[in-house]
Amino acid sequence: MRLLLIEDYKPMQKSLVKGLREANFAVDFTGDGKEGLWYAKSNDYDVIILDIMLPGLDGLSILRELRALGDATHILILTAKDTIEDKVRGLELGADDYLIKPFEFKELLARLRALIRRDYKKKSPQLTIEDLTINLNTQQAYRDGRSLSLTAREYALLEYLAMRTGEVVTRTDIWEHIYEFNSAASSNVVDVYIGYLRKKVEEQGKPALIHTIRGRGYLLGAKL
Amino acid sequence: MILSLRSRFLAGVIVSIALLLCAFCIIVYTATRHSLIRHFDKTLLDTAKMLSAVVQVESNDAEDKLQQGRQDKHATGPAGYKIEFELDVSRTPEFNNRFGGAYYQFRDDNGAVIISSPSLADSDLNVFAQLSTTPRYKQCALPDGRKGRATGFQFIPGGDRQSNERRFSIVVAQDAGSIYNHLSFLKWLLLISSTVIVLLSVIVALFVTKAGLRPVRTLADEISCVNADNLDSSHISEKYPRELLPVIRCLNGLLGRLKSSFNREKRFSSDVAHELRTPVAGIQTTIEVALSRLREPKEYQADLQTCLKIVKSMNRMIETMLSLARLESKQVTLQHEQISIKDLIDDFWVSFADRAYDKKITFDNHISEDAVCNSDKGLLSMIFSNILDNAVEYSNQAGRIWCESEESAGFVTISISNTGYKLNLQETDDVFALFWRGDKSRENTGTHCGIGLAVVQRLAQVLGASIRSDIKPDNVFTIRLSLPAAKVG
Repeated sequence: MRLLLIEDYKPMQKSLVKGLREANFAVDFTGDGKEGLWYAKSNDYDVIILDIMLPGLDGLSILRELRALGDATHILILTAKDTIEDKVRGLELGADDYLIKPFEFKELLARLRALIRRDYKKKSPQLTIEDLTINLNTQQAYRDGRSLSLTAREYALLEYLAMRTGEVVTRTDIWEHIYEFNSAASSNVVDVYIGYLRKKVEEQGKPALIHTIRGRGYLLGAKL
Repeated sequence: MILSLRSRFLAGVIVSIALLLCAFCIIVYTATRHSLIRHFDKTLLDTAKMLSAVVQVESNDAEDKLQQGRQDKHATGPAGYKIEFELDVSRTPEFNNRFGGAYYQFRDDNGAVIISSPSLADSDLNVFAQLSTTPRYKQCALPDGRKGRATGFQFIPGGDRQSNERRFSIVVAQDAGSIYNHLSFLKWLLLISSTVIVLLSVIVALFVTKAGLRPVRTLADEISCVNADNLDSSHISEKYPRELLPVIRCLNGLLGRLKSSFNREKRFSSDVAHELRTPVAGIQTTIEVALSRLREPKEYQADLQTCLKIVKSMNRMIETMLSLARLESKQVTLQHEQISIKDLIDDFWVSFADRAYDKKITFDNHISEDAVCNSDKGLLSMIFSNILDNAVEYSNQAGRIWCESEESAGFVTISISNTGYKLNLQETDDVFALFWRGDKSRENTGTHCGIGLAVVQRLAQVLGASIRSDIKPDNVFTIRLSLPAAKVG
């Protein structure tokens, strides 16, 4: 899943990017409000983490502009502003969540995952596609009860396909939600990772779960 | 206890009405009494004069003029005079009848009763202790017990020449019950009507005060609706009587100042929250992420260095705030000396020159060599250090910083200006507020936190200097510091 972090305090930005990437998120980041708005408009993020007091353009103005443009991306406000008025103003302008600094990093992760589940209309933190089970909290995948040994990128790809189970997912979609803006990878790398993933999910003669829909993309689960 | 406006107004109106009514009643009663009694006394005096006129004193050899059909009184005085008193009793029945209510009595100059009216019978009419030719009047009890008035005076009766040396006195009394009854009736009428008027005026005053104080009540209701939550939209309308308008204008002015104060307070809380929470959040997140898995020692070292950097920056902020606290609690000892301001600023500029060079900033020190002040060098250095640091930080790329001086009325005014400020003209005074920063985003948190100019202002106060800022529309920001000039010689 791909996140945009707009936070100007450098030590915080650096730690958050590091922690979020280690939690298997693709993270674009900036410390400037105007640049952050440009990122948000130009890419399809699963969640935007937004500070309020930013140079260039403040967080609430970014939020207001994105909602005015009809952008429905989930936005989590991460700020030191803690009054009820601040929270109400942020939420009323269209934020989906509000977290006050300082915070527990695991709480931020839990809130981000909850927002992503809400985005893909998944209530449970455990996704089941036939005999494939994915635990979104522990980030573990099981096929027929057996744990799959996946790399971070492979897990991210499987999670994204599982979130959109039953839908044909294009290479562009995968590329946009798994890779960061500055990633050197091309969309061909998606095919390579699908190959790796297939090998691990469908090994030992298990029925195919990841289907290629020619000319359109990939489908996880029963073929249409 | 402080009485309410309504009670004061009511009490004032009622007491005033009661006093006015009381005065009115006293005047009416006194005037009426005086008029009635004067009229009565005049009639009484006429009667007395008429009676005195019919007294004749003759020597014993004078001719007897007694005639039939008249009441006759003949008395012989001690010196052998004969007194003649002629009165037609049928014409004055009030003196003849015992219950007629009218009495007279003549006495000679020895006080002996000479003649009394038949109505007196055996009673005496000794009302006045002493009489003169000037008539006297007195309220008295009549022989039949009724209340009456009497008049008396001395007179020289008519008669032959020898008797003219004698002086007689006459006292005439008459029933005055009707007058006193009228006066008593008038007294009660005034008393009762006054009481009724006072009671009615209480009721009327209650209604009038209620109606009169309605605008005050409405204003009080409007004011009571003002609270911290709706202060921004609170403004007392001026639809009140003109007596209340000065109060309302004062109140609106107060509300305006309160709004600004609340907004400053809110902004201060928000700024403090940002300046303190953001670095703490930075440390917490760095540590949590570092501990989320086992890492190489180099990674831990990098994270610890990040935390140390944050802690050092927080420490700087705390130190500055402590300096501020010390300044405010006046825990500073001043050591005055003569300081050349131009040299001091030149010395300080050295430490900012590299940063200024990186931003291609031009620096000009136009301060006069004669600009010398008598001040504490340490505190003055802190002032110029903060101002120059600020100027370099907020100057635009390839901008300009310049210093000027002006001397007048025993003060040296130093101006330090820089280009590139992006502040509103209304924010001139805000720059000295604690945690205030021109950039609402609070960029560079951890490096700048908006304390510097607040400290400068407090330092200036400690040094007895005045400081003000000036923002011009062409983005030139100037700080002017006026210091007491050193006395030459």
